[in-house]
Amino acid sequence: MENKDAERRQRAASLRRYEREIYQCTRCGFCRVWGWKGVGYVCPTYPHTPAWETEYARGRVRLARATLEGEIAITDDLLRHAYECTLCGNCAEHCPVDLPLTDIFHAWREALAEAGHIPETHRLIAGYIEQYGTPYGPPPDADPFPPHTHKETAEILFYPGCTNVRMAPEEVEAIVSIFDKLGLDYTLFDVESCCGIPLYEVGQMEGFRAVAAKTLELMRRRRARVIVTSCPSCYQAFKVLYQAEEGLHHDFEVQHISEFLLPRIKDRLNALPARVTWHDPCVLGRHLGLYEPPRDVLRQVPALELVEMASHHEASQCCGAGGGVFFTAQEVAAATVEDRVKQAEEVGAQTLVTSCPNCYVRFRQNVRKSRRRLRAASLAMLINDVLEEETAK
Amino acid sequence: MEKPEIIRRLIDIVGAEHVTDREFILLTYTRDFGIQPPRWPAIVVRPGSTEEIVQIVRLANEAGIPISPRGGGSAQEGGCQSEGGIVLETLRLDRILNVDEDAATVTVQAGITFVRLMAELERRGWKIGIAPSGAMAGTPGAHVSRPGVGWGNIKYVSQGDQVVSLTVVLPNGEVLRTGTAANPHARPFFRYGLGPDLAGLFIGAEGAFGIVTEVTLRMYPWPQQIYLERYVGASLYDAVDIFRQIAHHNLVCYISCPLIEPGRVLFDVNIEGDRPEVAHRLERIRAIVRSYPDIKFEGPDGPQQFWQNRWFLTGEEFQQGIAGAVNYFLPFDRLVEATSIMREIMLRRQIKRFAQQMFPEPTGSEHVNLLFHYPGDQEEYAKIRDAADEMMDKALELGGAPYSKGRQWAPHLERHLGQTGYWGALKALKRVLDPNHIMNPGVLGL
Repeated sequence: MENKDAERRQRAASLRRYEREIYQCTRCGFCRVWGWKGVGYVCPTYPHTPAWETEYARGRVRLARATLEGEIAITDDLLRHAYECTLCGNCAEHCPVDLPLTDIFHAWREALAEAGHIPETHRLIAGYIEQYGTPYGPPPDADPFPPHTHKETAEILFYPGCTNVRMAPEEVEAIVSIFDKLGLDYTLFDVESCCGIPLYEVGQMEGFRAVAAKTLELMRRRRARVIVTSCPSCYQAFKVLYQAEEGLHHDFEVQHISEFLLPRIKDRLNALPARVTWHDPCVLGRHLGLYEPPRDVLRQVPALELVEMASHHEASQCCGAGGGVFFTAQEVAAATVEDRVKQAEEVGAQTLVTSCPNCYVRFRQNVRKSRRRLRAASLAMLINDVLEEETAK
Repeated sequence: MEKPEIIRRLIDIVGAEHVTDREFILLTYTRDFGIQPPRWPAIVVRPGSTEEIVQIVRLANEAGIPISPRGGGSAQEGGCQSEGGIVLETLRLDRILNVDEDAATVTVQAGITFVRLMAELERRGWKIGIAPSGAMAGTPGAHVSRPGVGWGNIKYVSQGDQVVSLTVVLPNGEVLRTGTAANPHARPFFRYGLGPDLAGLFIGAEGAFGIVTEVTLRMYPWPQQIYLERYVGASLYDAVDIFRQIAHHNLVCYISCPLIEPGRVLFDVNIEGDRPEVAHRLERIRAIVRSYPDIKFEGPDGPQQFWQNRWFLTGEEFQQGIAGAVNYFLPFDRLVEATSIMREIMLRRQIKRFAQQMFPEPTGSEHVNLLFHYPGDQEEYAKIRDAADEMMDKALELGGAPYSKGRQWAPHLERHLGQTGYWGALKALKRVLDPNHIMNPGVLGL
């Protein structure tokens, strides 16, 4: 009995911050499906699950409350339902009582992890990060970084992010190429040391803080003024999460690649006569409010026609990979990305562009596997294709 | 029959991924959108067709386990709860089966949400008459079972009035189609004919006599113009006078009166039609309102903005918490008195947050009292439960008729109607149609 009480107190610690909000859920059910104003299913993964109440926000809030109150046993099955959520924030965007649902769900994960309820896959990821500095496990035999980018210090630190390094090296090459064309004084963060987001997303805050401290120390050695990244999660970590944690404060200026490129590419782009649509990564858009810089970058490309999908900006539909879903529920993630790719096809886009390694990799896998005519590209890849070489000054 | 065997048989019917008795999932089916205490079902099942529901109902009879149908779980009176039985969720039945532009009807499965249905019809240039304010979560099967009021109350009366045909799985597992669709050679195009109007047995019955699996509703060409404007005044007497005249002359699609406070009443009128028709109706409404100098014209901007985001904004009033709802119909001449009496009860019982509203019908009005609390505030919850009990009794004494009854109104209905022929007939019908008493027992007091 004592152990059970202790566990309840432990579970409650993180969730208690959102106790008031959890009790404010009125169970209206507006977080399931709209079919109105370009919003289909509010929860992107719900239609690809058995669709129990526990597989969209209303039920998950109830489970968070049950966790808070120690009302039910935490089972592996419950954890699976908890981690089918991509933390995309679309439910929070469409909640009529303005509940901070993403924060609640994150705090719920934190509470579950603190109480030792951690899915096996998450333990594996944490182990890899601790051992190898990346959730993707042992390093490849070959150096994944372009040789000329190894530089000890520079004004600009390009942080590629572990998903780009392992899953989308073409993105790293594209940004390196852009920086070279622009003649920038930069160094590539060429060690695999995770920003910590994979652990943050699954509620393992202690692990997040530990790896973040290590990565921050390694970044400080480069003596850069600006950190540039194309990964919204890394961007969120450096720009917001580190600054909110005691011991992780820093003085770096942090820029997403879209913000960084915008003032530097004017009148340097060749024409690209193509119909292109922009996918708002959930972290970059809904969580951080960065909707226009990537669109403004695309608008600078002569002859490029930028079109919006049915859901965009605040109502943008998740690719299905966020929140660690691609670690724990790969079938759900694969089915969810299909919905988004279809939205791109429906507006006649030739290229689906984003700037998030998770989204990009899922799109790339989908269009290749389905042999679609649609092309998936990252913002940096597209810009690198049309950016002129630096001319002599 | 033991539960494992029932589950095994249900899996045979609908497949393993659509049956559960997992505790953490059952928890989320213990309540609806209201204040009824939690009731734990033994099993939740999500069938995908009328045929599967037939088999589930037959199994329930064989096993002696009750079934409670549930749509979006967005009603407020506990009608979709089950104590130890099967909750049968209809959300997989989410297709539009037929848009009949010849008869101007739309046939849908019971579990499609209203906003999805209406968006599709609007795309085709059509609309339905009535939509619940909770249209984002609400479903036609559940709505006709309440019997369904909402936006459109004056012109279209209620969802029950919009029904052309229902497909119902009866408590013995037989399938009944009402209206012209009862003729195997006919499609649903007229509610009456062939015999008595059996649809009426299921409208407002909340699943006591069967599970509605398909609904055919009338539909209407999308109007050329939808115009709204707002009025504010101090006198509820004046406002109700205006409602009565507008309703009698059938001048609007609906009147919404979402705010009634001492010395302040606010209402919107919604007019639809072609442009000359809207202008003519508006002129007549303004002429009526001009007779009441206290009622001030507030213009169209506020309600027009509301209309643009109506399905979302209806949820915003619940920022005050979960609402204990005491909703009933009254004739126009009892509305002012009822507002005052209900307010007195809520104040005397020291309810912290409440709202009073009216949504007029052609012959009276829905009178709404919402008593808000946040879950976890047990003291306020207890006060609200007590106040609601007193208010339900008072509403029936005033000559009111509850809108959605669920389990919340059951003891009150039995107390006030128990000796009537109506109640006796309902009980007799229940015994005949549902001899094993498996169909949503306890709802309506049956």
